[in-house]
Amino acid sequence: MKKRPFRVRVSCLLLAVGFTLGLSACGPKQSAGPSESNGPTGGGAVKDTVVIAAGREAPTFDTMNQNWMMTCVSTLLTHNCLVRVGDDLQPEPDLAESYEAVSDTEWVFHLRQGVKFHDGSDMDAEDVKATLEKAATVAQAKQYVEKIASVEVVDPYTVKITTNGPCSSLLMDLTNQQVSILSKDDIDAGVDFNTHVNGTGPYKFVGYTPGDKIEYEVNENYFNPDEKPAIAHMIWRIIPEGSARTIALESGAVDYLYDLETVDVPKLEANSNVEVLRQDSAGLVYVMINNEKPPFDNVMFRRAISAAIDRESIIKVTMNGFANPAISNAPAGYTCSTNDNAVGYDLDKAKEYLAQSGVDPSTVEMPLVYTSDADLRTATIIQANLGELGIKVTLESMDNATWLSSYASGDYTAGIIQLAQRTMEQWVTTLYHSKNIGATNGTRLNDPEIDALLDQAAVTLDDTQRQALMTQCVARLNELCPTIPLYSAIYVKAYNSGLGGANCNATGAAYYHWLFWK
Amino acid sequence: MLKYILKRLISLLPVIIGATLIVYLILNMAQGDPARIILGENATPEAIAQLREEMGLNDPVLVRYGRYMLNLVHGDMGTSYRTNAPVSDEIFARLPYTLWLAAASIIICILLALPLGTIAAIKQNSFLDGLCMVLSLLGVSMPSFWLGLLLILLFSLTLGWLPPFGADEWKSVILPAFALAVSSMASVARTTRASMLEVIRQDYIRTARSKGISQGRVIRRHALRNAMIPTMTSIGIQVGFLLSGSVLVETVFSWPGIGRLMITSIQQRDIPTVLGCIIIFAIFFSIVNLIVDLLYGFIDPRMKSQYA
Repeated sequence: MKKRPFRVRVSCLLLAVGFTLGLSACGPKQSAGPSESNGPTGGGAVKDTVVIAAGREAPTFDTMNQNWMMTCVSTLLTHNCLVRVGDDLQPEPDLAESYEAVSDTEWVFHLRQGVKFHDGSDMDAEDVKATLEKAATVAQAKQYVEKIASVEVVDPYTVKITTNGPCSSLLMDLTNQQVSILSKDDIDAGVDFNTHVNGTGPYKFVGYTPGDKIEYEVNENYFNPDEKPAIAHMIWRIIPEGSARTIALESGAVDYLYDLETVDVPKLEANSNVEVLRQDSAGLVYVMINNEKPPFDNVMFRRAISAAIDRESIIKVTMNGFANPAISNAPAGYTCSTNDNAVGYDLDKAKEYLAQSGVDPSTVEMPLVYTSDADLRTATIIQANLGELGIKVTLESMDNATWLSSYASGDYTAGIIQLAQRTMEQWVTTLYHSKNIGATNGTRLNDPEIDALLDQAAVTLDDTQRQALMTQCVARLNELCPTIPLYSAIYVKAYNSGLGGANCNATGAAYYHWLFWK
Repeated sequence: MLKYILKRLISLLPVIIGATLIVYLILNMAQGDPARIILGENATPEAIAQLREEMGLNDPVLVRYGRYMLNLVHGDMGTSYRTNAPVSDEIFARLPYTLWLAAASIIICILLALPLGTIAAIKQNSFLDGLCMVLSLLGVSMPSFWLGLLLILLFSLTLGWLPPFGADEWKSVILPAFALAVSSMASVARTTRASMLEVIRQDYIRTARSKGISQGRVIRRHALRNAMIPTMTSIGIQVGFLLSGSVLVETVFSWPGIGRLMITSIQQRDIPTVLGCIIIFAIFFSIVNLIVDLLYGFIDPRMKSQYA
């Protein structure tokens, strides 16, 4: 076969390189932003529509048979609970315009009158009773009503809830979307709540194209005139790829990003047509450690690990600076959190704790599980940090499903986890109460003092006393160091600067019906 | 020919049984409890136990598989663990988009690869030959994910010609189809080139040229059709790869196809949905192979005897 002339091969190679470079150089102009020709609503529509981009879709619209974040986001638009979470992460009235504890185990809720479901039927106490009783039979919802002994209809707009003993978490439990109030008629008819979305919320469900978009329109009969949506139509577009979502905002195809890559934030902040909202979260990213496996059952060894980890580096590399370092075993976003007894980055202290533990680091191998690219970057830094103590860390990739099973069964040594809960009590009880070993207590911590404090807090209705108990509990946890706290992420949202009303609380929840065009 | 087609369709059954059984066993052996995934990190043992009972997960694996296949015979693909919706609803809502994308991709692939391969063969060892082969290799080397983002940057953000995501209008399919087609192009172009090179060296091509027939007519009327058999085989194989390659493209372009559904279902151990997707892919593959086999007979009448 005749050999191709050298100049031909070189010409082809140069052409190919030029083509590749040319394609790579194609990027947005510096001044690009939501296009004027597209209009603030993306696509030339008048200002009666807002388009929000999210990376994941809601798998179902059934408010009760689910535990998906995006379903909860959708439910916040279409339904209401008796109470909802305020900006201070405390319960505030929603469908119940007022409520009081008439005894340690009895609560009376006074419902708003004139509230209608989207199908035009009235909401009353029978609907509340039917909803809470149905929730008790559904696996995903029963945890929020398991402390309820009975629900009594006092009159059409008054409900009395009796609990199994004093229950400090009742109000916050009732803020969960899984106990959003449904129509009794729908419950009795056995409708498919995934396709029959009939709530009392500010928006009505219009339609869903799987994998593409969800559409809503304003509920003209919304019971709260101060919070009736200013924008008639809302569309949620599903755009799984982060870069593509950012491009969509810059091009004006969408108006609001529900989630975005932190690496895109500086570029968006430099764009005069985009505003960026930041909110410190009450969540925590941490290394969960199996406290039953030697030598990780040694408190001083765990404290040595915590003191050896450079959290600032992790934040810089993994989160591009969009996080706050955390040293407490409970998130800093709650009022009863404390850093007492907590261990921060201090290599000398780490070596001191290691010496006190009596553990020879050269004999320790620590498999560290990660489930995402971001966690891999975090794990790599931890591996380097602990290497300075002489501890060998091996990185192990797992998908989320496998990881959930592994840590519940205790078949692991250490892994990186991200978690957020609505209350400090829920956080600490879920993760550290010994009754949850084999389920949510992945550290398998079994400390009688922690259990006693949590049990007492659960039945203490006085807020001040309960918070004091929780602060004491967190201080004890910091001393025991069952997990290695790393950071609390900062929630970041980006949106068209023509939009107002953007909000986000410390749990990441937001009331999107507050959005309006300026 | 009808008998041949029926025979091929009936042979689908063992394929579906085999594929679903293997996938079912693998997914059940893999760690990860569907009930725990649905209930999340706050799942209590009691809630998990209740949900497992409701979902029938406590029955033996083969009993569950048998129940699934019995329902399948009646046209019931089961209920998604994740959404509680019928699996058939989930799949058939997305199937048209997957078919649309696959069809557009293969058309673009053919429109690009056939000319590239033919030109490369005719102008063997020339600059054009090298250029065609380098372009096709570029296509297979560039990750479709990366290419997709570049296409969005250029055609959507910079030029504003095409929509960056979704499937709202006919224009929406152009960028994802192109991103998908580019990687398939290389194989088809190279096969076409090799096949054409063999054909244009045949005596009857020399005869046709010596009779004064123009080069274009020689290629079109005499060479191309005879070179198409291996090319058709390559195209048929690429259609199968389009399904697997479409997941990344669907993610970048937010294309509501089956690829993303399958990946999400695997990650969340939504076994009925995974099986449903496998069945659709198996049927799709088999039908594509059948069409390719039938086209052999159309391209080369001597091959029609296999249908007798």
